Amino acid sequence: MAGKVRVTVDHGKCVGTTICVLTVPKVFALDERGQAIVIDPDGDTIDRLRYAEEQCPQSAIKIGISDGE
Amino acid sequence: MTIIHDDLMTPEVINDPHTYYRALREAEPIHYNEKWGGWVLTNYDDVVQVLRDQYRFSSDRMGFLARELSEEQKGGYAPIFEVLSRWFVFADPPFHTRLRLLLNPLFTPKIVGTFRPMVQEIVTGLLDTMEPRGRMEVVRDFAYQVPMSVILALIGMPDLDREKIKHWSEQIGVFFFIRADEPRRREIACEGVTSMVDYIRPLVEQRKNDLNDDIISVLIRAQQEGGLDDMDVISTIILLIFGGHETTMNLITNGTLALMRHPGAWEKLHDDPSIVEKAVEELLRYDGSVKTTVRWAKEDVELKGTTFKKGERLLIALSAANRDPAQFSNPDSLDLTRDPNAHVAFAHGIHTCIGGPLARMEAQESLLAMTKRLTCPVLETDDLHYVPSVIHRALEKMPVTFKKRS
Repeated sequence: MAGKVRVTVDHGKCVGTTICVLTVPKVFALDERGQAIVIDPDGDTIDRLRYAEEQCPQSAIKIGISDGE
Repeated sequence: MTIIHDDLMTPEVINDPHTYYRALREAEPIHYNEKWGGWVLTNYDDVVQVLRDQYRFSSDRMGFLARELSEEQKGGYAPIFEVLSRWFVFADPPFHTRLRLLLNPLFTPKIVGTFRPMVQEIVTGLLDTMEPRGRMEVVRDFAYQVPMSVILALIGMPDLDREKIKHWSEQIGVFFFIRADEPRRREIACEGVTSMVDYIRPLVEQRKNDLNDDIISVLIRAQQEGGLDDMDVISTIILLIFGGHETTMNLITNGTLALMRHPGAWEKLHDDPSIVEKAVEELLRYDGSVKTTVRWAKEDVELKGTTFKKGERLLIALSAANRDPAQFSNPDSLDLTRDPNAHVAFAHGIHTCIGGPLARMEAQESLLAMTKRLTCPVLETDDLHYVPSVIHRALEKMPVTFKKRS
C-alpha cells in the first residue's frame, strides 16, 4: 500500500509567488499573510505535487512519502 | 522630529540611500513624497503586505503612465508603449500569470543548477584574462560579462552582437533609471527599443523553422498554441535580456564592494566557501541591486490609518525594508552567515523576480571564484559614482587592483 503524502511549506522561505496555488490549486491556498498553506495533501497526483515542489523559486515546498504508520 | 526632504536624486541619497531611508523609516514609515508624487513605504511589514496583495495593488506601469500623458505625448512614447506594456513584470493577472507560468520552468532552482558548470566556465575564462593584469574595472570587465553571456545563451541569441545588445539595453534603461541628468531620455529609450525590436524580429522568424530548447523556441511554441502575438514574443525576449543582466551585474558589483569594505569578509568567504549561499543572501539584503519598486492602488486602501486613494502610486523601498531593525538584528551590519534572512531583494508576491535562482547562482560562482583566486581587491579611487536612479543601485565604474593568490 502506498505511503501517506506529506506536504510542507517553509514560511521562512515562502514569499507568496502563488505559483504552487496556480499549479495545484486543490493542494495549496494562501493564508491571510499571503503565504502558501496546505489545504489537502492528497488533492492532486504525486507527479503534479513534485512539479509544484520544483517550480517554487524559493524551494519552500517539501514533498515526502511517509510509511503508513 | 527630523525634517525629511523629498528629493530622491540628491548626491547624498544616490550615494547612500540607506541613511536617507533609515531616517525616513524612523520619522514616517508611510510618507507622502510631494516631489516624487506618491507614497514611500519603508517598513518591512508594510512593504511585504503591499507586495503580496496583487488584488488591491497593480503593477501596470504603462497603463498608469498612459493616464498621465496627453495623446500627443503618448505618440512620442509609442515604441516604448508597444513593447513595455507587454512586459509581464509590468502586468497584472491574467496576462502576467500566463507568461510567468510559461517561463517559470526555465528558471527553477533545479534547472538553474544545470547551468552552474557553464557559469563556472565563463567566470574562469574571465579571471584567466584578468588575473595576470592585476587590475580590472569590475562592472564592465567582469560583473556585466557573466550574466550577459548566460542570458544570451539561454535565450538563444548570438553572442557576437553582445556589445550592440548592451548598448540598446542601456538606452532602454535610461527610461527606468529615471535619469534626471538626461533630458533626451524619451528619445534615447525609443531608439533603444526600436533597434532591439528590429534586431530580434528576424531572429524569431528564423527560429520558427528551427525550434530547439532555447527561450525563443519556448515562446514560439507557446505562440503557436495561441494567445501570444509576435510582439508579445519579441517584448518578452527584450525583458529577459534587460532583466537578465543589468540587475545581476549590479548584484555582483555591489557584493564585491561590500566584501572589500568589511575587514575580513573577503577572507571569510575564501576560507569557508560553504557559506556562499548565505553570504549571497546577505549581500542581496545589505546592498541589493534594486532599491525600490512601484505599485498603484487599484482602489482606496487603508494601511495603518493612512488611506491610499485609488490611482495613487507607492514607492516600495525594498532596501529600506531590508534594513528594518524590526525584522533584522543589527540591520546595518554585514553578517555573511545571517540566518534567518527573509529579505525582500527579489520582492515578494506574484512579481517575485523570476530570475532570482539564476542571479543567486551567478553571484555565488562569481564571488567564490574571485575570493578563491584573488587577494582582496583595493579600490583605485574612492571617488565612486552611482547611476542617478530612484530604482537601481548601480555603480558607474569600479576600478580595482588585486594580486593573484600564491
